[in-house]
Amino acid sequence: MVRYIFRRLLLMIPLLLAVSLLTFILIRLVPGDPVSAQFGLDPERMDIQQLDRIREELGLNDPLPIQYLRYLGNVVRGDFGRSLSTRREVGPDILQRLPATIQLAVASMIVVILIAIPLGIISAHKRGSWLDNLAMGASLFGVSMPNFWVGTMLILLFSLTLGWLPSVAQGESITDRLKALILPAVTLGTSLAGLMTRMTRSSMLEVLGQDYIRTAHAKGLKHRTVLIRHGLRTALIPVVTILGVQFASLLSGAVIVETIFAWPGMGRLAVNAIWRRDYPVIMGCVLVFATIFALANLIVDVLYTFLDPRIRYEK
Amino acid sequence: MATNQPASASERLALEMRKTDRQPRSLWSDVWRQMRRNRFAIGGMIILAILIFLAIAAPWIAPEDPLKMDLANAFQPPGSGGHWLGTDEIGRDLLSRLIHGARISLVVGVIVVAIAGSIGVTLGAISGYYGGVLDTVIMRVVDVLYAFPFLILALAVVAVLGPSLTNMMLVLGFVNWIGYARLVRATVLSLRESDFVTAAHAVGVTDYRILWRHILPNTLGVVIVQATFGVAAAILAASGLSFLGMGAQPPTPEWGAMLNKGRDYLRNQPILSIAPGLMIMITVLAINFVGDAMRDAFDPRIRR
Repeated sequence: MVRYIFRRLLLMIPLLLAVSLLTFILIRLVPGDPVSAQFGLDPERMDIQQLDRIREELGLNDPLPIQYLRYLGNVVRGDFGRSLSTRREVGPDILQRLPATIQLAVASMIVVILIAIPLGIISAHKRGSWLDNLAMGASLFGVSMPNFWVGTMLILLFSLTLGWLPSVAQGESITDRLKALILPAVTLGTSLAGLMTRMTRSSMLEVLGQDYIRTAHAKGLKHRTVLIRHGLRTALIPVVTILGVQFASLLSGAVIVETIFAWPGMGRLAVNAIWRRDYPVIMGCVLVFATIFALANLIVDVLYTFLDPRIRYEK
Repeated sequence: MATNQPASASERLALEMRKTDRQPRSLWSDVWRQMRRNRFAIGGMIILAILIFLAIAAPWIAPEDPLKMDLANAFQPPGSGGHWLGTDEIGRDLLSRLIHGARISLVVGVIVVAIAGSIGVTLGAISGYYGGVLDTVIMRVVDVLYAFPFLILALAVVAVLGPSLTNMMLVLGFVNWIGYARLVRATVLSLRESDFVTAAHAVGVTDYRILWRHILPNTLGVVIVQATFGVAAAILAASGLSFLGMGAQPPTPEWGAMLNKGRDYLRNQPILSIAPGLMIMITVLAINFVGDAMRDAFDPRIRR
């Protein structure tokens, strides 16, 4: 297992190289000058020499391959460069923002699991009942609602109308923070909860049709035991896979949710950087996001072996 | 003497077949029959038909010009002054803007899927059928793109190209092809080994013709299902990008952009935020209903 994980970690290197190269090319090949964007000035009206000096200072006058290699060399040493707009170091900035985003993603993952798995099981168990229809209808609504709308409606209802929950984090105490986490987490989780309810249900239905479930029933086991101990354990395998892959997509969705709730995470950092053409920050964010993506996939594959003893990665 | 007794076996078979009242059915009529039985699918199709009608007839049925400002009548509550849904911050008629928004969202959805689908199907087919180096290269590219946080990538590219509706459609199209490529590749891989392909090879049909005329038509079912969900996903993504200011620019009556603007007046004129999002949801929901039913209809295992 250790060897497998090690090999997968090694395989991540070319992947991340490709991601960084692609981002680099994308960002640099497209017109738009970071220096003028940074100062918000018309480049023609600025002193050419002064402009050139800034470019030289930032290394923007070197050939692109040199720029890329230099960037890569720095990244390997943990140096993502300095933001063009704030002149602060990108690495620490991202590190400082990352926990807030992870916190949000984990919280909405919990929301998703709490809603989707019980609902999926009940739906599968009571297939065709009004409960099943209701759950399936609700889940389809869940995946069809744009998250920026869900967020706005939650603010309208719970913050503005009822005044129960804050729309923006205020206060430092644990309860204040937890309260501020609820609306963003629910917003981010709605769509995934819909998807996972359907996944759990169909996976459960497939398992419940298997022979060994009938055997378990025939043995006279309690209904609940059969459903949970025999059915759910197997049914969860594909569910966990999708959940893992989707954890990464939650990070993507966080971009929008963080904007709505003024959440101080990486998503907002990235969006602001994109507006300012702040290349080092954009690249840093993309690389960190891609790394999390890859790690999430690896974790899922490892979890697999624990859930499904039939799967062995070692020869 | 029974002269009407058929002589040969084939004639007898033909007669036998005429006796059964079941007509031979094509895949499409089969799918249609399945879908007709699904109430949700019918509902979805009706809603979609209405939306398409709104999109096409927008200039004639919208009560007002969606861009016409009327500062004296800003923030009219719904139902007042001939504005069914009221007016926005600069007095534009909300209902008219919503109707015109259907145009934008549906067109964006279809164009994005058309771009993504044609790239994805072509590359997936080539990758699956020819294999080898080409397959390896294409699939590595797919892997890399899969590792990209999709929204960040789209955002970054739109930002550097310059935020506009056209750029956003192009970017979404070029980002979304990987799903189709994987799907078509997998289907082609399994079809490649089937008997009818071997038979085609045996009678000397060229590779090119086998791929495009014999194999690809058989992937149509899965592609159409994927494309249907793709339109829904594209509409969601496009409105999300517009919401962030990276898509349709003001004063375009795009639902996501309208919602973003409406949020500033959430407390006093909430309908400016409620209505556009509701439109997005209804559209996406209707498409998902149809997609769901279509997937079941194309899947021979669930057929009744």
